Amino acid sequence: MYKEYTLTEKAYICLDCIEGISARRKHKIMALMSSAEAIFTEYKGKRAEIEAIAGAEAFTKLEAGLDMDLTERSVNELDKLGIIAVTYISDEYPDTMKEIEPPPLVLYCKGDVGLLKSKGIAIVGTRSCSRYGRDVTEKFATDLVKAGFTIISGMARGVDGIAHTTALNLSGKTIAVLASGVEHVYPPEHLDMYKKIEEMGLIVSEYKVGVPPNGYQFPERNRIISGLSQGVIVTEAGEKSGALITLNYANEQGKRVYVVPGNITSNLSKGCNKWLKECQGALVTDVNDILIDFEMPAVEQMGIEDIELDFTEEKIVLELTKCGELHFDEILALTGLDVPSLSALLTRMEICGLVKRLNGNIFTI
Amino acid sequence: MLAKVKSYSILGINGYGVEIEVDINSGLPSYDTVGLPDTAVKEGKERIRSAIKNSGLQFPVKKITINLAPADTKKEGPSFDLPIAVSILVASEQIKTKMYKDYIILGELSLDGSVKSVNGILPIVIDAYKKGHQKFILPKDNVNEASYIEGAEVYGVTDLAETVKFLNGEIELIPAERRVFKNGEAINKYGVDLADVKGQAAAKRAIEIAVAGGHNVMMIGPPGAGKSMLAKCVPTIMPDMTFDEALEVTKIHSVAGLIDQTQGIVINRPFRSPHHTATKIALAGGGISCKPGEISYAHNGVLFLDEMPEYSRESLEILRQPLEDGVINVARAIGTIEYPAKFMLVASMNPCPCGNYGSRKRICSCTPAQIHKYLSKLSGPMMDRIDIHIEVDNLDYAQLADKASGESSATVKKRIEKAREIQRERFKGTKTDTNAHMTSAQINKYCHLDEECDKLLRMAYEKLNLSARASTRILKVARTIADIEGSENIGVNHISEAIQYRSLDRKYNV
Repeated sequence: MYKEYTLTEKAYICLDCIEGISARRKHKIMALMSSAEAIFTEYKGKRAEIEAIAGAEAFTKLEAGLDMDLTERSVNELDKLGIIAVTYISDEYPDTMKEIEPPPLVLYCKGDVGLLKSKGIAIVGTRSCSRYGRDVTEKFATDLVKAGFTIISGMARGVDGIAHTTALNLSGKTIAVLASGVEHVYPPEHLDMYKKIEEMGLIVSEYKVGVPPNGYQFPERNRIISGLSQGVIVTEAGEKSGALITLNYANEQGKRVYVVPGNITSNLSKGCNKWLKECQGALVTDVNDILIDFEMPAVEQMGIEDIELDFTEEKIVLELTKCGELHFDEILALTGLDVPSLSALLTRMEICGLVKRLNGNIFTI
Repeated sequence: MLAKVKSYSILGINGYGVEIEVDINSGLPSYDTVGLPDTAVKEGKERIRSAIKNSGLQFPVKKITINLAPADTKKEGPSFDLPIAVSILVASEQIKTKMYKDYIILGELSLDGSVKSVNGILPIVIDAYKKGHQKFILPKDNVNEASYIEGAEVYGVTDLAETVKFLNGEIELIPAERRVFKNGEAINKYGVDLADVKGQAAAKRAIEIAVAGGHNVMMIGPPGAGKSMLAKCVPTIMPDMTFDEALEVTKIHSVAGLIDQTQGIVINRPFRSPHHTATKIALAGGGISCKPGEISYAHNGVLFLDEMPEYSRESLEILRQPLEDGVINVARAIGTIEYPAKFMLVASMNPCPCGNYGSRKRICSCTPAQIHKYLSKLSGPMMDRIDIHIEVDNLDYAQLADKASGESSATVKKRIEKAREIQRERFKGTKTDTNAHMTSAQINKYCHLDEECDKLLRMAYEKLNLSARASTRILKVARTIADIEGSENIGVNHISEAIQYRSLDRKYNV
């Protein structure tokens, strides 16, 4: 048994399993009862009220679904799959989540449920990110992990995936909020990431086991991403990016929002830049802009000056700072080294983190 | 009357003896060929009849039966025309001496009686000579090819009349002079030189290493970056073939009729670039007569697969066994034939379907899923056989115009020959010939790393996200780099350089 559920929790799990009634109405039905566990017996006497809240069929649905045996079975099922159900009244259920509209009755979790109450920041953005988006996402994720934040995201392609991977590589904490049943890996190429998050972090979903990732669930899911976090950063987002939905939710929920500005000519940054025009306070350029809001000490931004360089290395780094990126042949002309020595040198600089190699034998800082 | 003439035919790339028996009887005039002849052999009837008549001889108007023994093997091609004509003339007593019995006779006849060249002469002469046959009557055009074999007495004939006169002792023919294979005879016939490639210093260096160690190469870059040009330069820097290597290549090319008859033997290393629509049979060999495929034509040379992910997965996977063993076994109804297929694989690909992923100038329009799909067309085991990844980008070289044009192929070739010499010495007495083909025991023995190198490699794994697969590849390539430098041990510089050539392992993780 991953968890012993109390009768109250079971009541919530049971209610959550009933289909055809919205979460908002289920909360209202629950409020009619003297206590949560009493729902199994009391609902019969409150037919009129229930039908007033949730329509004529609601009562029959409750009648069919509210059954102790059925509940036991679903609890066992969850247990077999290694899923922990954190209900609205469970201790692990974060208070911040109760403020979102509507709060999920149950959060299905895989991994370390303790992370639900940790201090988290969501990093979200476009699914097809540019090199800039990738770099910025990695940078913010790295700095935030180092500052002790949990990285929350949606395990989608692009920015989401990069944020998770960065956190995992640093052995940091990370939460993936899925738009499908918690056992469903989407996109499929993130299977490895899914397994690692399950092991080292937490996977959360409000959807029951077996629910596929239907399109309309993604925006719904975004309210949980913002709900779980203390702030949301968008690193790169086009005009119609789902990340902007998350940003809107965060704004409504009174969370802090941060937007990284992008190139004005880039389509992939249009969403970010548009948002910034309306809300200039959201602009962030490094992690200290975020840490100051949490009254945390600023971190030293590691500069290249801090590493001791020899003459050639310094020359390369200086030129790269000026030009942004250089082809291998250009560096060759710059330094006057022969090919083998330069290859060897660049590998070592890469290992030290001084330069980065891009596609096509191009180097950048 | 009965006559028997000796000839030879080809199965795979080996010759086997065929005895041609002709029996001429009185009866209704007819002409029958038995002994599993194919259409080309059967049609020979018309050529032979005209050739005999047009050479001023008599075609017997009798019942003619021709048997090609052994009778259970399929006989192919027009090379039996001349021996059949000779045996008819023997049987009709127009050739009077018994001299014909000493010769192996081959050749295709033209209607006017002239003798045309045929395919597969070199393997036939080699195998017939091994079986104790020393004298050959061959088409004049095939003489250069046959005369590389020491001890073989090769007589070239131009037409049927000349052959008949020779076999009747009326004229003397001089056996062809033996040609001697000179090492270094190969001249750069590829039309490209490494000096012509502007810039791309890193890619050129990578190719040098690849050739020095016999490593397979993958080039990645947008269209127009110069991948094909670089690939074409690969054979220009490969060491010259030895006589044995040249003979092996010539045998295969001879069967396919790819020989330049003025030279007679293949001296330049083959460079084969089959189109990506090539079927697996075109690549591996096969068909009814079990012909060699592109990978065998590339034996001892280069197989260039341009746009590798465009090839069908099926055709690519058949390369796996030959890349490992250097031979391919083709099994068909006529038997199982082993063709040599030891080639250096040079492949090229775009980084994504549109070709611009990661490019500085152009924007990629592919979705991550598309790129993923494109890259996954190359299977893991296939990529495991490619040691060196080269990335090329189209750079504006006008900016670098003042840079000297770099070394010529000949200069690089010299360095490579030296590195190959070291490897020959190292692997003496083993089956391995180059660093690329080292067994794991040999890697342990010859690629020992000191503490510093080991540390570097471990850090590279952590920081650069190298896959586990990369490890032995890096060791092998580092070994080759050390060999080029003439260094006995692998140093930090060698390892660090080798890491640069594993870019596919750590990137493209979109």
